[in-house]
Amino acid sequence: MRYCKECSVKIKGNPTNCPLCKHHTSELPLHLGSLESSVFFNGQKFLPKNRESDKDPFPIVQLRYKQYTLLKVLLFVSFIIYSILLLIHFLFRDSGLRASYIFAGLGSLWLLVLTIVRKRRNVGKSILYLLSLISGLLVLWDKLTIWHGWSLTYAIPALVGIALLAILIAVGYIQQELGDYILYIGAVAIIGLVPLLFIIFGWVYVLWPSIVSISLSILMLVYLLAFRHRLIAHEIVKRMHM
Amino acid sequence: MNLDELQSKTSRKRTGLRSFMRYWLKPGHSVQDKSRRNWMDLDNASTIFPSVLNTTDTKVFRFTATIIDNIDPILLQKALEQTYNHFPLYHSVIRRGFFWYYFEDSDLIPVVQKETTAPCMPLYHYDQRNLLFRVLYYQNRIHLEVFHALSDGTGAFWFLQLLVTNYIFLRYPESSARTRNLGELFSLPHYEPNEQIDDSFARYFSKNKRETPGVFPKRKNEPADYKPETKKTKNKNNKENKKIWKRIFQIRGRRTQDNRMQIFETEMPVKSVLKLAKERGVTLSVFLTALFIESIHRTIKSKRKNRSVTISVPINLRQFYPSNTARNFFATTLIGYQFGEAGQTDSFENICQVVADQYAEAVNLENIEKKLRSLIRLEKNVAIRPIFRPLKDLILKIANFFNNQGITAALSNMGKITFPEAVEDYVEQIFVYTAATRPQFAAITHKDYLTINFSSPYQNTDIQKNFVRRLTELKVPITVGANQVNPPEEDNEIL
Repeated sequence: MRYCKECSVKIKGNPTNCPLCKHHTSELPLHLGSLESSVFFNGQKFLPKNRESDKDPFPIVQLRYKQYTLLKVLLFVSFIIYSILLLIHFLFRDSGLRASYIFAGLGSLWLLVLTIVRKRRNVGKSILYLLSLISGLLVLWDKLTIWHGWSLTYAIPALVGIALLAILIAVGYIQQELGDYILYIGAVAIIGLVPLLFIIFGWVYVLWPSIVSISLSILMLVYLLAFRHRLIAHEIVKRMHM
Repeated sequence: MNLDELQSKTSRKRTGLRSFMRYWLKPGHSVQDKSRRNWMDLDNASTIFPSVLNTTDTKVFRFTATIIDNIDPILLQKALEQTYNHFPLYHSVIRRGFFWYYFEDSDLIPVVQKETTAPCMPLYHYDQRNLLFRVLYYQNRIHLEVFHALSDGTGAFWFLQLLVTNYIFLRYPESSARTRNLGELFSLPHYEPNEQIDDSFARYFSKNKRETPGVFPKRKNEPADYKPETKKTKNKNNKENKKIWKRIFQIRGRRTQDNRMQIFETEMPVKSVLKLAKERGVTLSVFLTALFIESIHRTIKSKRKNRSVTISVPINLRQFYPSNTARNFFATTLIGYQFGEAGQTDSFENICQVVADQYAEAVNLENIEKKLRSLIRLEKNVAIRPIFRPLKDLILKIANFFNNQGITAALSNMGKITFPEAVEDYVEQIFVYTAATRPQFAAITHKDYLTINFSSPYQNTDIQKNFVRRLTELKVPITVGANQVNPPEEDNEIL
């Protein structure tokens, strides 16, 4: 226990300076008594409080900063790469490296990184977001280079298959409550039906990847509706409650 | 079993192909049975907290109880589990829906932890299923930290009361032997599960219930001919004559290095402060509010001296509307003082008088009801309800920002609290404080002692110093404790 003459207060612990006014603290004056004696007020006796009051009331907590170090390094590295690639683009005109490629490349990288980081706590949500994002980016890349339609024909149906399998394995492995994931699984399965549109509008010429994707999705939807419809209804009511 | 084992037990996983197949194929799987969990809406006051919290103002508040001896963590854990069973509300986690946040039941088991971090660290994190409270211990202290969306001070104190009682019965068995009516102790109405989760805002102030005669619960001392205002009877011309504060002073300053709260706990004999209040013919709350206003005003530089200082004060609605809910049930009011107005001296006595008048006006139930009913109308508005939740968050953040512009500081007086008689001898002191965006204090009286605890996100301590010195000048003996906001350099590490 210390004492501050300026503020005339007793201070718990052994600080060298008064936390209020920053002046040097001193020993407890005699009239206020040591810890063992009592405090008197208006003739009434107050029992000695805080047997532990010679100790600090709070633990010393180290300073903690959120540094985002990795993010800063990545940002720096991507800036350097972007500059180098731009330089190549301007110096070697016939390299075939277009400014739009460079920009789209780094943009894709950052979108992916941020999605993965932000959605890392729910694997179902993470897979749903990544599926949608990667599909969108692949169509963009297909468009940006010469349009072959490979994104619609092969990439998206394959991604849907991978996503369905991944979500099945991941959720089954972590064995957490299915309610947290079931709507995301349903959403992935519904995205898996999108290749049906590709076939209807005649955007794809090789049909089997789309058909596989659609069949897998239908299988999953049938499973969900047959065995988990109560859970799905419960989750929808809960989350969509207005 | 020690605490580490318990911690690892709660995060146990099952693996293997069989359990994998069972998870997907067996309809009555135990994990999935629990999957259809109970859930409920946040109440009207809670709605804002998850939307506006940030790393400084975590919307977490803390009760501290100091016990005569150092804490035994094993017994505290036991006491916590016993208490937890009595409080189904505290099993809740907050989750994000498409339109609103909601409470969901969980079967998490809380584990006591040694205090190693700064006070009032965040409790709610999106996408994480965390309990909305934590129990910490340090030396002879038990801390209960609660996310404000779950409970208000009164509700959280009930939890603390039972936790401390259970702990002391376990730690000092002779105390429970001394208690004659043990059963009565645990059958208080606010330990009833159904009473605890009551949404009293909806019960008292929602429109539908208001307009159906006979359904609506009465408030205390309600006049027999009282008719709540409805849309039809609403008098458009009758504008509330609310005082508009001009040029409200805003406290600014340098933040603490890593945004931790600066905490001051002060303890003093309550009688000496009560005597000072009585000398001025005012209540303890009025006295403390006036003192706070004056302490803030003394930090203002001369050219801004003529600003008004406003203090946001919560009012516990349980005192007017019978309720045993452990959830939020409070309203806030703004108490202020305009400095430098013509024809008045800004003496402390005058501030006391002006504040006392406003307190008297603030508990005018017609005004409180009007305000709460309009808030609930807003929440139930057909145009508001279908707004996408992230957009609601943004709107609430903006509304909260503008609301904060009208507030200089905040305080909360919890009043006098007690523990069961047999337990009282083992409890030394109770402290309460909260994470805050601006300097704030919370006061609580226990036995003969009043503790006033300041929390502030700023390094500057002038307001607290003015407040404490003013009291010591008036011969109040005060003991101060503070946390370290600038710990010794060599201990620091970069995360």
